[in-house]
Amino acid sequence: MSSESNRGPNPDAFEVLLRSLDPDRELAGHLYEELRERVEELLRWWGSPNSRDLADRTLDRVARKLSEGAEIRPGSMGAYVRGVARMIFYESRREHIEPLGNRDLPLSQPDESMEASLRCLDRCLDALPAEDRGLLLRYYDSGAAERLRIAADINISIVALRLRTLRLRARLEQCVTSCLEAQ
Amino acid sequence: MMTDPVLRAYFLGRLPEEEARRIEERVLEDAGLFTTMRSAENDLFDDYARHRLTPDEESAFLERYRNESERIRFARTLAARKDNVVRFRRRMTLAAAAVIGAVVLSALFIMQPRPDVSDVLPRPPVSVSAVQTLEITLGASRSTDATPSLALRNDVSTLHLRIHLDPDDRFDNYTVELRSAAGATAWRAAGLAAIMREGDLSLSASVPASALGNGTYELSVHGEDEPLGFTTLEVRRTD
Repeated sequence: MSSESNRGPNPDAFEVLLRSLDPDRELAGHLYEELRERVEELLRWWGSPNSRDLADRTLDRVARKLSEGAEIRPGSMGAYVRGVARMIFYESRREHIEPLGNRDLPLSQPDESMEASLRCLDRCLDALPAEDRGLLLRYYDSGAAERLRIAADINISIVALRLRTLRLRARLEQCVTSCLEAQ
Repeated sequence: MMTDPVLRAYFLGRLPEEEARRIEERVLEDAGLFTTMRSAENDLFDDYARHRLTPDEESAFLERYRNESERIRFARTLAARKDNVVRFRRRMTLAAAAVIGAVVLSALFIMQPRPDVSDVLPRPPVSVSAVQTLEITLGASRSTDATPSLALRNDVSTLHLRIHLDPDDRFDNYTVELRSAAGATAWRAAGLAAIMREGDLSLSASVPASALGNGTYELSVHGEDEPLGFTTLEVRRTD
């Protein structure tokens, strides 16, 4: 854990970051949460095993730099934050090498394990409202053209449909994981 | 416009560094792209679980994601569920279609004009009335719990089966079998070829009516070694 992380966010620096996102504090808070989520995902795509912590450290450092007078050109926030995240990522790799071996998934899954997963999946699907269940199963059994038809059927954009199904999938995956842990 | 192949290449580590950097910068500011990328990443997991990746892609996928065991397990479970559902639907639609076929045939039989005993015209040749057709359409309707019933006339010499298959179920050869309730094979035809016509994949087979007495039979269809569906069939011989 770095000293930056131990120190936690500087409240003044955090306010500067919020103001740089939007003058409306409430909206700025919302934009901050969105940005933090995207940075966390980006770090995960790079292979970071502790992307949540690194995302916080990234935004803490961005906030500190802004409070120290760094200027971000309009339209360059993404490039700036990405650059800081990349630096934090490289630093974290020097600090700590995550042992990978014990996290590997066997390339084949035993039948009894799959049966338990299927039982949990069915249970979790049953717990979803029928409309959500139908949408989720239809979406993930479809190709691109059929997904456009689904979006048209329910009168939403394809991006809105992706977002909706992403959330449903995350909820379902969490439910299945909890169900398997409880067994 | 960020296409799925570009995003897939990004996740598999196959984009030039500069292009990957541009995507990463943009995704931090573009909510729509962020959603699209997460969605594309889930699709990549699903394609891995459903064995749709090329060997090169699979190896790149594992190099990048082999630590994400929970996500891989979930994608595999979704894939396994889909396989199970497809098999279940095939069984149920075959059963439903058999009901429809039997009902249609019975209705046609009932509506057929009865021969008038005072009719002086000669009866049609036996061969004309010797064939009865049972039409089965896979995937055309939903499930039913009813057991299909076939009224098979005693003057019929051949029951012609026409089975419409899921167009995705293409095999070089098929086997259709009728088993009695006791498990004995009443009739079986292997090496049948399906015909694709205007998007409709169908199988035809001729069953000697003499092979079928009153009773319950199980009709099964295999594409090579893969079971495609089965249903029970109640046969009733009539005059």
